[in-house]
Amino acid sequence: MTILKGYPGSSGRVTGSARVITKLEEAKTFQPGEILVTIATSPAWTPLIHISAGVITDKGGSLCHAAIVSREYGIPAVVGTRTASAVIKTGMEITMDGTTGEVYIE
Amino acid sequence: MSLLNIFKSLNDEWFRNPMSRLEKSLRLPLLIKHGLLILFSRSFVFWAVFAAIVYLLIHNLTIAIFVGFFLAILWELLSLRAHFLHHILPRHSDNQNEVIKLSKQYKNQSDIELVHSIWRVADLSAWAITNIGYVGIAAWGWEIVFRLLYPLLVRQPKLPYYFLLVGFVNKTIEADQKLWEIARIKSDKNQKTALIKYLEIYGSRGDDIDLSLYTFREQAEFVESLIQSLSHVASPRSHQQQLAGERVKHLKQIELNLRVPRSLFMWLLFRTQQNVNLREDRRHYYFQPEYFLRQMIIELGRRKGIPSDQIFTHSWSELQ
Repeated sequence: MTILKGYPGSSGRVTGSARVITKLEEAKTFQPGEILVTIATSPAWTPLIHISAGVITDKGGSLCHAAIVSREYGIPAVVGTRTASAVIKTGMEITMDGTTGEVYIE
Repeated sequence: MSLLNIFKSLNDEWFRNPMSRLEKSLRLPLLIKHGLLILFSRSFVFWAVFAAIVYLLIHNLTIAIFVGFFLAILWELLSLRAHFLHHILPRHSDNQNEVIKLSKQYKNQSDIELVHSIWRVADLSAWAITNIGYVGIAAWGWEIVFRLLYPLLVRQPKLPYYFLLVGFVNKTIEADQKLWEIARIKSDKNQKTALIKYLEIYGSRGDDIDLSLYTFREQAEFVESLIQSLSHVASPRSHQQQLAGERVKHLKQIELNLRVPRSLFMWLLFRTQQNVNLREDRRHYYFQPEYFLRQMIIELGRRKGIPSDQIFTHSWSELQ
Protein backbone atom coordinates (compact mmCIF):
# COMPACT_ATOMS: atom_id res chain seq x y z
CA MET A 1 0.00 0.00 0.00
CA THR A 2 1.25 3.47 -0.86
CA ILE A 3 0.69 6.27 1.62
CA LEU A 4 0.78 9.87 0.44
CA LYS A 5 1.31 12.51 3.09
CA GLY A 6 -0.05 16.02 2.94
CA TYR A 7 -1.55 18.55 5.32
CA PRO A 8 -4.89 17.96 7.04
CA GLY A 9 -7.26 20.39 5.32
CA SER A 10 -10.68 19.27 6.53
CA SER A 11 -11.36 16.42 8.93
CA GLY A 12 -13.06 13.15 8.09
CA ARG A 13 -12.26 9.86 6.39
CA VAL A 14 -13.70 8.50 3.16
CA THR A 15 -13.02 5.67 0.72
CA GLY A 16 -13.97 6.04 -2.89
CA SER A 17 -13.05 6.23 -6.53
CA ALA A 18 -10.51 8.90 -7.49
CA ARG A 19 -10.97 11.29 -10.39
CA VAL A 20 -7.83 13.19 -11.38
CA ILE A 21 -8.62 16.56 -12.94
CA THR A 22 -5.81 19.02 -13.55
CA LYS A 23 -7.71 21.52 -15.72
CA LEU A 24 -11.28 22.73 -15.49
CA GLU A 25 -11.84 21.65 -19.11
CA GLU A 26 -11.57 18.01 -17.91
CA ALA A 27 -14.14 18.49 -15.15
CA LYS A 28 -17.16 17.54 -17.26
CA THR A 29 -16.30 13.86 -16.65
CA PHE A 30 -16.52 14.21 -12.85
CA GLN A 31 -19.26 12.14 -11.17
CA PRO A 32 -20.90 13.04 -7.84
CA GLY A 33 -19.39 11.08 -4.95
CA GLU A 34 -15.93 10.70 -6.49
CA ILE A 35 -12.81 11.90 -4.73
CA LEU A 36 -11.44 14.96 -6.52
CA VAL A 37 -7.67 14.86 -7.06
CA THR A 38 -6.13 18.00 -8.51
CA ILE A 39 -3.19 20.37 -8.40
CA ALA A 40 -5.09 23.19 -6.66
CA THR A 41 -8.60 24.59 -6.63
CA SER A 42 -9.93 28.09 -7.14
CA PRO A 43 -13.37 29.79 -7.04
CA ALA A 44 -14.36 28.19 -10.37
CA TRP A 45 -13.97 24.73 -8.78
CA THR A 46 -16.32 25.16 -5.81
CA PRO A 47 -19.35 23.48 -7.48
CA LEU A 48 -17.13 20.41 -8.02
CA ILE A 49 -16.10 20.39 -4.37
CA HIS A 50 -19.78 20.50 -3.43
CA ILE A 51 -20.47 17.19 -5.24
CA SER A 52 -17.20 15.46 -4.22
CA ALA A 53 -16.78 12.89 -1.47
CA GLY A 54 -13.35 14.36 -0.66
CA VAL A 55 -10.60 16.58 -2.11
CA ILE A 56 -6.87 15.94 -2.50
CA THR A 57 -4.51 18.60 -3.84
CA ASP A 58 -0.85 18.85 -4.74
CA LYS A 59 -0.46 22.46 -3.66
CA GLY A 60 -1.60 24.60 -0.77
CA GLY A 61 -1.44 24.56 3.01
CA SER A 62 -4.05 23.93 5.67
CA LEU A 63 -5.70 27.29 4.92
CA CYS A 64 -5.76 26.96 1.13
CA HIS A 65 -8.89 27.34 -0.97
CA ALA A 66 -9.56 23.58 -1.20
CA ALA A 67 -9.29 23.15 2.57
CA ILE A 68 -11.54 26.09 3.36
CA VAL A 69 -14.30 25.17 0.91
CA SER A 70 -14.12 21.48 1.92
CA ARG A 71 -14.75 22.56 5.52
CA GLU A 72 -17.73 24.62 4.38
CA TYR A 73 -19.16 21.48 2.79
CA GLY A 74 -18.15 19.14 5.62
CA ILE A 75 -16.07 16.84 3.42
CA PRO A 76 -12.51 15.64 4.08
CA ALA A 77 -9.55 17.30 2.38
CA VAL A 78 -5.86 16.44 2.23
CA VAL A 79 -3.83 19.29 0.75
CA GLY A 80 -0.22 20.01 -0.19
CA THR A 81 0.65 16.40 -1.06
CA ARG A 82 2.90 17.62 -3.94
CA THR A 83 2.48 14.41 -5.96
CA ALA A 84 -1.13 13.21 -5.68
CA SER A 85 -2.19 14.19 -9.20
CA ALA A 86 0.79 12.29 -10.65
CA VAL A 87 0.66 9.21 -8.40
CA ILE A 88 -3.11 8.65 -8.23
CA LYS A 89 -4.88 7.58 -11.40
CA THR A 90 -8.55 8.03 -12.26
CA GLY A 91 -10.60 5.05 -11.16
CA MET A 92 -8.29 3.96 -8.31
CA GLU A 93 -10.01 3.08 -5.04
CA ILE A 94 -8.37 5.23 -2.40
CA THR A 95 -8.93 6.09 1.24
CA MET A 96 -8.24 9.57 2.44
CA ASP A 97 -8.07 10.84 6.02
CA GLY A 98 -8.45 14.60 6.31
CA THR A 99 -7.75 14.47 10.06
CA THR A 100 -4.25 13.03 9.69
CA GLY A 101 -3.48 14.32 6.18
CA GLU A 102 -2.88 10.87 4.69
CA VAL A 103 -4.04 9.15 1.52
CA TYR A 104 -3.92 5.36 1.25
CA ILE A 105 -3.61 3.77 -2.18
CA GLU A 106 -3.92 -0.02 -2.49
CA MET B 1 9.27 39.03 -11.34
CA SER B 2 11.05 38.58 -7.98
CA LEU B 3 8.01 40.16 -6.26
CA LEU B 4 5.88 37.55 -7.99
CA ASN B 5 8.20 34.77 -6.81
CA ILE B 6 7.98 36.04 -3.23
CA PHE B 7 4.17 36.00 -3.48
CA LYS B 8 4.21 32.48 -4.97
CA SER B 9 6.44 31.20 -2.18
CA LEU B 10 3.84 32.42 0.35
CA ASN B 11 0.85 31.17 -1.61
CA ASP B 12 1.59 28.53 -4.24
CA GLU B 13 -2.06 28.17 -5.27
CA TRP B 14 -1.91 31.27 -7.44
CA PHE B 15 0.14 31.77 -10.64
CA ARG B 16 0.75 28.03 -10.66
CA ASN B 17 1.13 27.78 -14.43
CA PRO B 18 3.47 29.74 -16.69
CA MET B 19 1.92 33.17 -17.11
CA SER B 20 0.63 34.13 -20.55
CA ARG B 21 2.49 36.92 -22.34
CA LEU B 22 -0.57 39.13 -22.36
CA GLU B 23 -1.16 38.76 -18.63
CA LYS B 24 2.53 39.45 -17.99
CA SER B 25 2.58 42.59 -20.11
CA LEU B 26 -0.91 44.01 -19.53
CA ARG B 27 -2.20 43.22 -16.05
CA LEU B 28 0.84 42.14 -14.04
CA PRO B 29 2.42 45.63 -14.10
CA LEU B 30 -0.96 47.02 -12.97
CA LEU B 31 -1.17 44.44 -10.17
CA ILE B 32 2.30 45.47 -9.01
CA LYS B 33 1.37 49.17 -9.25
CA HIS B 34 -1.77 48.77 -7.15
CA GLY B 35 0.00 46.46 -4.72
CA LEU B 36 2.71 49.05 -4.11
CA LEU B 37 0.08 51.80 -3.76
CA ILE B 38 -1.62 49.81 -1.00
CA LEU B 39 1.68 49.21 0.77
CA PHE B 40 2.73 52.86 0.64
CA SER B 41 -0.70 54.36 1.35
CA ARG B 42 -1.71 51.97 4.07
CA SER B 43 0.62 49.29 5.44
CA PHE B 44 3.84 51.33 5.59
CA VAL B 45 1.99 54.41 6.82
CA PHE B 46 0.53 52.58 9.79
CA TRP B 47 3.88 50.94 10.48
CA ALA B 48 5.66 54.29 10.41
CA VAL B 49 3.08 55.98 12.63
CA PHE B 50 3.09 53.25 15.26
CA ALA B 51 6.89 52.98 15.16
CA ALA B 52 7.16 56.75 15.64
CA ILE B 53 4.80 56.67 18.64
CA VAL B 54 6.73 53.82 20.25
CA TYR B 55 10.05 55.57 19.55
CA LEU B 56 8.79 58.76 21.22
CA LEU B 57 7.96 56.69 24.30
CA ILE B 58 11.06 54.50 24.61
CA HIS B 59 13.73 56.12 22.37
CA ASN B 60 14.91 52.77 20.98
CA LEU B 61 14.70 52.62 17.19
CA THR B 62 15.06 48.83 16.78
CA ILE B 63 12.36 48.00 19.31
CA ALA B 64 10.18 50.79 17.89
CA ILE B 65 10.41 49.28 14.38
CA PHE B 66 9.51 45.76 15.55
CA VAL B 67 6.73 46.82 17.93
CA GLY B 68 5.43 49.27 15.32
CA PHE B 69 5.23 46.41 12.80
CA PHE B 70 3.14 44.23 15.12
CA LEU B 71 0.91 47.12 16.09
CA ALA B 72 0.34 47.86 12.39
CA ILE B 73 -0.71 44.24 11.82
CA LEU B 74 -3.01 44.41 14.83
CA TRP B 75 -4.50 47.64 13.49
CA GLU B 76 -5.15 46.01 10.12
CA LEU B 77 -6.77 42.98 11.77
CA LEU B 78 -9.13 45.30 13.66
CA SER B 79 -9.90 47.71 10.81
CA LEU B 80 -9.74 45.87 7.48
CA ARG B 81 -13.24 44.44 7.56
CA ALA B 82 -14.80 47.89 8.03
CA HIS B 83 -12.45 49.27 5.34
CA PHE B 84 -13.63 46.51 2.97
CA LEU B 85 -17.34 47.08 3.64
CA HIS B 86 -17.37 50.90 3.70
CA HIS B 87 -14.65 51.86 1.19
CA ILE B 88 -13.50 49.01 -1.02
CA LEU B 89 -16.84 47.39 -1.85
CA PRO B 90 -18.66 50.64 -2.73
CA ARG B 91 -15.76 51.73 -4.96
CA HIS B 92 -15.59 48.26 -6.54
CA SER B 93 -19.31 48.43 -7.23
CA ASP B 94 -18.84 51.75 -9.07
CA ASN B 95 -15.87 50.29 -10.95
CA GLN B 96 -17.87 47.23 -11.95
CA ASN B 97 -20.68 49.46 -13.26
CA GLU B 98 -18.06 51.15 -15.45
CA VAL B 99 -16.79 47.75 -16.63
CA ILE B 100 -20.31 46.68 -17.58
CA LYS B 101 -20.92 49.99 -19.38
CA LEU B 102 -17.71 49.53 -21.40
CA SER B 103 -18.63 45.91 -22.11
CA LYS B 104 -21.82 47.11 -23.82
CA GLN B 105 -19.97 49.69 -25.93
CA TYR B 106 -16.78 48.00 -27.04
CA LYS B 107 -18.10 46.32 -30.19
CA ASN B 108 -18.98 49.76 -31.59
CA GLN B 109 -15.70 51.38 -30.58
CA SER B 110 -12.83 52.14 -32.93
CA ASP B 111 -9.61 50.15 -32.49
CA ILE B 112 -7.96 52.98 -30.54
CA GLU B 113 -11.00 53.36 -28.25
CA LEU B 114 -11.08 49.59 -27.73
CA VAL B 115 -7.40 49.56 -26.74
CA HIS B 116 -8.09 52.32 -24.18
CA SER B 117 -11.14 50.47 -22.87
CA ILE B 118 -9.16 47.26 -22.45
CA TRP B 119 -6.44 49.08 -20.56
CA ARG B 120 -9.04 50.78 -18.34
CA VAL B 121 -10.84 47.51 -17.51
CA ALA B 122 -7.48 45.78 -16.88
CA ASP B 123 -6.62 48.60 -14.46
CA LEU B 124 -9.96 48.25 -12.66
CA SER B 125 -9.51 44.48 -12.54
CA ALA B 126 -6.01 44.87 -11.07
CA TRP B 127 -7.39 47.33 -8.51
CA ALA B 128 -10.04 44.79 -7.49
CA ILE B 129 -7.62 41.87 -7.21
CA THR B 130 -5.08 43.77 -5.11
CA ASN B 131 -7.40 45.79 -2.87
CA ILE B 132 -9.92 43.04 -2.27
CA GLY B 133 -7.11 40.48 -2.06
CA TYR B 134 -5.37 42.63 0.58
CA VAL B 135 -8.38 42.24 2.86
CA GLY B 136 -7.36 38.58 3.06
CA ILE B 137 -4.84 39.71 5.70
CA ALA B 138 -7.81 40.07 8.07
CA ALA B 139 -9.44 36.79 7.02
CA TRP B 140 -6.30 34.67 7.36
CA GLY B 141 -4.84 36.74 10.19
CA TRP B 142 -7.81 36.24 12.50
CA GLU B 143 -7.97 32.53 11.71
CA ILE B 144 -4.26 32.06 12.44
CA VAL B 145 -4.56 33.98 15.73
CA PHE B 146 -7.64 31.96 16.74
CA ARG B 147 -5.96 28.68 15.76
CA LEU B 148 -2.89 29.49 17.87
CA LEU B 149 -4.91 30.62 20.90
CA TYR B 150 -7.59 27.90 20.76
CA PRO B 151 -5.71 25.21 22.74
CA LEU B 152 -4.80 27.87 25.35
CA LEU B 153 -8.36 29.14 25.68
CA VAL B 154 -10.20 25.80 25.75
CA ARG B 155 -9.51 22.78 27.95
CA GLN B 156 -9.25 19.53 25.95
CA PRO B 157 -11.23 20.61 22.89
CA LYS B 158 -12.95 17.64 21.26
CA LEU B 159 -13.13 19.08 17.76
CA PRO B 160 -10.76 21.25 15.69
CA TYR B 161 -11.11 25.03 16.03
CA TYR B 162 -12.52 25.50 12.53
CA PHE B 163 -15.78 23.79 13.49
CA LEU B 164 -16.58 27.11 15.14
CA LEU B 165 -15.97 29.02 11.89
CA VAL B 166 -18.15 27.14 9.41
CA GLY B 167 -21.87 27.04 8.67
CA PHE B 168 -22.29 30.68 7.67
CA VAL B 169 -23.80 31.91 4.42
CA ASN B 170 -21.27 33.49 2.08
CA LYS B 171 -20.99 34.24 -1.62
CA THR B 172 -19.57 30.79 -2.37
CA ILE B 173 -22.51 28.97 -0.76
CA GLU B 174 -24.92 31.49 -2.29
CA ALA B 175 -23.54 30.90 -5.82
CA ASP B 176 -23.56 27.12 -5.48
CA GLN B 177 -27.05 27.15 -3.94
CA LYS B 178 -28.45 29.17 -6.86
CA LEU B 179 -26.88 26.78 -9.37
CA TRP B 180 -28.40 23.84 -7.47
CA GLU B 181 -31.82 25.52 -7.66
CA ILE B 182 -31.40 26.06 -11.40
CA ALA B 183 -30.59 22.35 -11.81
CA ARG B 184 -34.08 21.62 -10.45
CA ILE B 185 -36.00 23.75 -12.92
CA LYS B 186 -37.96 21.27 -15.01
CA SER B 187 -38.64 23.40 -18.07
CA ASP B 188 -35.59 23.49 -20.37
CA LYS B 189 -36.47 26.99 -21.58
CA ASN B 190 -36.86 28.40 -18.07
CA GLN B 191 -33.70 26.64 -16.93
CA LYS B 192 -31.70 28.15 -19.80
CA THR B 193 -33.03 31.65 -19.02
CA ALA B 194 -32.21 31.25 -15.33
CA LEU B 195 -28.74 29.92 -16.16
CA ILE B 196 -27.95 32.90 -18.40
CA LYS B 197 -28.90 35.31 -15.58
CA TYR B 198 -26.89 33.23 -13.10
CA LEU B 199 -23.75 33.30 -15.25
CA GLU B 200 -24.01 37.08 -15.65
CA ILE B 201 -23.72 37.41 -11.86
CA TYR B 202 -21.55 34.44 -10.85
CA GLY B 203 -19.91 33.36 -14.07
CA SER B 204 -16.72 35.40 -14.00
CA ARG B 205 -14.99 33.11 -11.51
CA GLY B 206 -11.53 32.26 -12.75
CA ASP B 207 -9.17 29.35 -12.30
CA ASP B 208 -6.10 31.51 -11.67
CA ILE B 209 -4.97 35.09 -12.19
CA ASP B 210 -4.28 34.82 -15.90
CA LEU B 211 -6.35 36.34 -18.68
CA SER B 212 -5.68 33.36 -20.94
CA LEU B 213 -7.79 31.05 -18.73
CA TYR B 214 -11.48 30.57 -19.43
CA THR B 215 -13.87 31.87 -16.84
CA PHE B 216 -16.59 29.64 -15.40
CA ARG B 217 -19.24 30.95 -17.82
CA GLU B 218 -17.09 30.10 -20.82
CA GLN B 219 -16.92 26.42 -19.86
CA ALA B 220 -20.27 25.43 -21.39
CA GLU B 221 -19.74 21.65 -21.29
CA PHE B 222 -18.57 21.79 -17.66
CA VAL B 223 -21.57 23.90 -16.62
CA GLU B 224 -23.96 21.54 -18.42
CA SER B 225 -22.44 18.48 -16.73
CA LEU B 226 -22.68 20.26 -13.37
CA ILE B 227 -26.38 20.98 -13.90
CA GLN B 228 -26.96 17.26 -14.51
CA SER B 229 -24.91 16.22 -11.46
CA LEU B 230 -26.50 18.76 -9.13
CA SER B 231 -29.98 17.30 -9.56
CA HIS B 232 -28.85 14.20 -7.62
CA VAL B 233 -27.16 15.79 -4.60
CA ALA B 234 -28.18 17.61 -1.43
CA SER B 235 -28.31 21.40 -1.56
CA PRO B 236 -25.37 23.56 -0.42
CA ARG B 237 -27.74 25.24 2.01
CA SER B 238 -28.50 21.93 3.70
CA HIS B 239 -24.74 21.41 4.26
CA GLN B 240 -24.46 24.95 5.60
CA GLN B 241 -27.42 24.50 7.97
CA GLN B 242 -26.13 21.15 9.23
CA LEU B 243 -22.71 22.64 9.96
CA ALA B 244 -24.36 25.63 11.64
CA GLY B 245 -26.20 23.24 13.97
CA GLU B 246 -23.00 21.35 14.76
CA ARG B 247 -21.22 24.65 15.38
CA VAL B 248 -23.83 25.70 17.95
CA LYS B 249 -23.61 22.30 19.71
CA HIS B 250 -19.81 22.42 19.71
CA LEU B 251 -19.83 25.96 21.14
CA LYS B 252 -22.11 24.91 24.03
CA GLN B 253 -19.60 22.18 24.97
CA ILE B 254 -16.67 24.58 24.70
CA GLU B 255 -18.33 27.17 26.92
CA LEU B 256 -18.21 24.62 29.77
CA ASN B 257 -14.44 24.16 29.30
CA LEU B 258 -13.07 27.66 28.91
CA ARG B 259 -9.86 28.78 30.60
CA VAL B 260 -10.71 32.47 30.08
CA PRO B 261 -13.83 34.59 30.76
CA ARG B 262 -16.64 33.73 28.37
CA SER B 263 -16.95 37.35 27.23
CA LEU B 264 -13.32 37.42 26.10
CA PHE B 265 -13.63 34.14 24.22
CA MET B 266 -16.87 35.20 22.54
CA TRP B 267 -15.35 38.54 21.51
CA LEU B 268 -12.43 36.75 19.86
CA LEU B 269 -14.68 34.13 18.28
CA PHE B 270 -17.15 36.68 16.89
CA ARG B 271 -14.38 38.81 15.35
CA THR B 272 -12.79 35.69 13.85
CA GLN B 273 -16.08 34.45 12.41
CA GLN B 274 -16.83 37.85 10.86
CA ASN B 275 -13.43 38.18 9.24
CA VAL B 276 -13.12 34.57 8.11
CA ASN B 277 -16.49 34.82 6.37
CA LEU B 278 -15.05 37.66 4.32
CA ARG B 279 -12.71 35.23 2.64
CA GLU B 280 -15.24 33.52 0.41
CA ASP B 281 -17.08 36.78 -0.28
CA ARG B 282 -13.86 38.34 -1.60
CA ARG B 283 -13.32 35.76 -4.28
CA HIS B 284 -16.70 36.50 -5.87
CA TYR B 285 -15.90 40.20 -6.20
CA TYR B 286 -12.35 40.31 -7.44
CA PHE B 287 -13.06 38.10 -10.46
CA GLN B 288 -16.09 40.12 -11.57
CA PRO B 289 -14.33 42.08 -14.37
CA GLU B 290 -12.58 38.98 -15.73
CA TYR B 291 -15.08 37.74 -18.31
CA PHE B 292 -15.69 41.21 -19.75
CA LEU B 293 -11.96 41.91 -20.05
CA ARG B 294 -11.41 38.63 -21.88
CA GLN B 295 -14.25 39.36 -24.33
CA MET B 296 -12.82 42.78 -25.13
CA ILE B 297 -9.36 41.31 -25.72
CA ILE B 298 -10.82 38.58 -27.94
CA GLU B 299 -12.66 41.27 -29.94
CA LEU B 300 -9.40 43.17 -30.45
CA GLY B 301 -7.79 39.94 -31.60
CA ARG B 302 -10.65 39.29 -34.01
CA ARG B 303 -10.16 42.72 -35.57
CA LYS B 304 -6.46 42.00 -36.02
CA GLY B 305 -7.10 38.54 -37.43
CA ILE B 306 -5.71 36.73 -34.35
CA PRO B 307 -7.72 33.66 -33.22
CA SER B 308 -9.07 33.76 -29.67
CA ASP B 309 -6.85 30.86 -28.54
CA GLN B 310 -3.70 32.67 -29.70
CA ILE B 311 -4.31 36.26 -28.68
CA PHE B 312 -3.06 35.71 -25.15
CA THR B 313 0.34 34.60 -26.48
CA HIS B 314 0.89 38.16 -27.72
CA SER B 315 2.22 40.97 -25.57
CA TRP B 316 0.19 44.10 -24.93
CA SER B 317 2.57 46.26 -26.95
CA GLU B 318 2.11 43.96 -29.96
CA LEU B 319 -1.66 44.37 -29.77
CA GLN B 320 -1.87 48.14 -29.28
